[in-house]
Amino acid sequence: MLGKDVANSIEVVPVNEERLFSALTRFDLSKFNNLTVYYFLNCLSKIHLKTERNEIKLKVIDFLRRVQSGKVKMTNIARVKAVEIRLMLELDEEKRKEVFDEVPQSSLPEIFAQ
Amino acid sequence: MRIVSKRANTAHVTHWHINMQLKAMKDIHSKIEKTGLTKLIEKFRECKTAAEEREFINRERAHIRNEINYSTTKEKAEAIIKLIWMNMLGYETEFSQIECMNALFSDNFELKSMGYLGLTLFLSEESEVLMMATNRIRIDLKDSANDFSQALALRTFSEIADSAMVHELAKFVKDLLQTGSKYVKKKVIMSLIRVLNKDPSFADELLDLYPPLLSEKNQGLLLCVLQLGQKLLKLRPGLSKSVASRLEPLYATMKMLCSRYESNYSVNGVNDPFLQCAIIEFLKDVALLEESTIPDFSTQVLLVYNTVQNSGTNTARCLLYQVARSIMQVTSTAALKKIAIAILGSFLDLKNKNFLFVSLNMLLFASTRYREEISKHDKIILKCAREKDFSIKKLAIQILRNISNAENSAEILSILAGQLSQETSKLRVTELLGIAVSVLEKHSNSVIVAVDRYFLILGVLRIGTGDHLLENLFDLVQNSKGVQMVFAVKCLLLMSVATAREKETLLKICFWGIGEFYGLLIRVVGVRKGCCELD
Repeated sequence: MLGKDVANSIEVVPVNEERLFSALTRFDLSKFNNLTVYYFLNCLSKIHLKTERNEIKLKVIDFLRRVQSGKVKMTNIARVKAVEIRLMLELDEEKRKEVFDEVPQSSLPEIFAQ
Repeated sequence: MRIVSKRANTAHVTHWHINMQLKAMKDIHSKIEKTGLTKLIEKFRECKTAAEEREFINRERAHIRNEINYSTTKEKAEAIIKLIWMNMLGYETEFSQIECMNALFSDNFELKSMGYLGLTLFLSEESEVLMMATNRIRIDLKDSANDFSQALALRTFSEIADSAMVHELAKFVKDLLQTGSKYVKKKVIMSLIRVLNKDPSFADELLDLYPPLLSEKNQGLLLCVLQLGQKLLKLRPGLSKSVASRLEPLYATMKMLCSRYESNYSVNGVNDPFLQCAIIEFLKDVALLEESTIPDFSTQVLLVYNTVQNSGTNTARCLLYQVARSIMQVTSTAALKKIAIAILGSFLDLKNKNFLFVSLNMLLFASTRYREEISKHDKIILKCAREKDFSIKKLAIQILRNISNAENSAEILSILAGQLSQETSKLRVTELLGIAVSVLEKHSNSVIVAVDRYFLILGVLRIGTGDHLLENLFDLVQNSKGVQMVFAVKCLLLMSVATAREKETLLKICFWGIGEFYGLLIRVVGVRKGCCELD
């Protein structure tokens, strides 16, 4: 695919953020290695920071929450990274405390052992 | 009835006589053919297991050890050759060193030659017994009445002499250079090469003696003289001046070898290729040190080239390779270099992998300076880049990198992408990736073309091999604001392609591109409806 073709296909049509987000979150992250998941989570955090729509921000946070709770299959290292990113995105101190309370204590040694 | 029985008796006697004669002939034959060593080898081969072999050798070794002191000279020589054979098989034969030393003192030539042969095989420079041999070698070197003893001593000296022996005997060896016997002279020169290897300062003593040696006509002797000359030129480059004025005999020899005259050492229709190669090599070394000899060197290599260029034999090709190699090393004219490249280019058509390898190796050496000439063979080099043999493939790709330009870089990169997709060894992938990156960075006329080429290369890689290149690509895009939007859209489109979803390296780029330029994606432009079918 050449850059020229891509350039020709561009029109002033807004990107559908919902569709992009749902496409991103549909990847089976358990198949990827940690570095790829790291890129993926960073992508989500950038979307959170750059989007102007609150519902997209909430969707990102919700997705990270699902990662943290184990509903989205991922390695433990990636889960720690997800928590980290969520902490960064929710800088409010109260929220941060809440996030810490949500991390299952029993799994912490297992997480950090890796 | 009587007549019948008489006839039968006669037939029986005749048959008996024939049998006896055959038996006698067999005995004579076995006596002539089978030496002690042959019998030993036959018996050794009859052993069925390794244990049996060991037992047999131990028995034979003990037998030789007990009997050798009471044997005749012929039996002693036979015993030494048996011990040499056992040693070659890897069995310990420590006592044989002393037996060899004793054999050196014998007047019998057969035993003496066995002793010297054993000495070269059993002893190394580190051996302490070597000191004992020095005196005997000195005596034999001085024995001017016997050429063969001198030759034996010289051959042994050239094989095993250590620094101490060289210090003791080098002067005697040098004195023998005046001998009239070509046979001994050849051995002297071989010994002098050993002397120079052990004691480079001895070169000063040979500076005056060497130039006249170039007039030698004997084939074997001249080969040795040329080898000694190369060694001397390396140690004392100043010798090149006196050598340069004495090259006429070599030119005459070369002219004779290139004429229709057929020498005794003709191989596949080429007159003495070994001597021709040695002369070219020597002339090249002189030309490297003495620029005034370059025109003569050029004449000689052209003479060889014209003589053998149409001969399709491997011998002729070897000679042509030597010509091309020498031309490449000497600062000769561009026309001569073109001839060398044409020779090497002609080898690329051959199926023989050895020729392919050596010519590619030489073309790689020349590819940085003679890009245009080598570019004429780019189609064949491209073919070589698809070879299964990795060493040939790598050389061809390295040449392609050196001769690549804006026009052929796309084709070279597509070949590299093909090779990268097939390669399983991580080391080879790293090598090929390095070449690919250097080509795309050198010959991409715009950033977007470079980005496309990065996608092409990274898209074919297996997991975990191209991560270090991501940083290069990200830096390139970060520093070029004009392509960031196109890059982001490209990432968006690529993510929707099913094959790209399976390539983690491509996905990493897509995630980075979408995240990094998300602001551009949502604010400035979008993608035409239908182009971004993400679901």
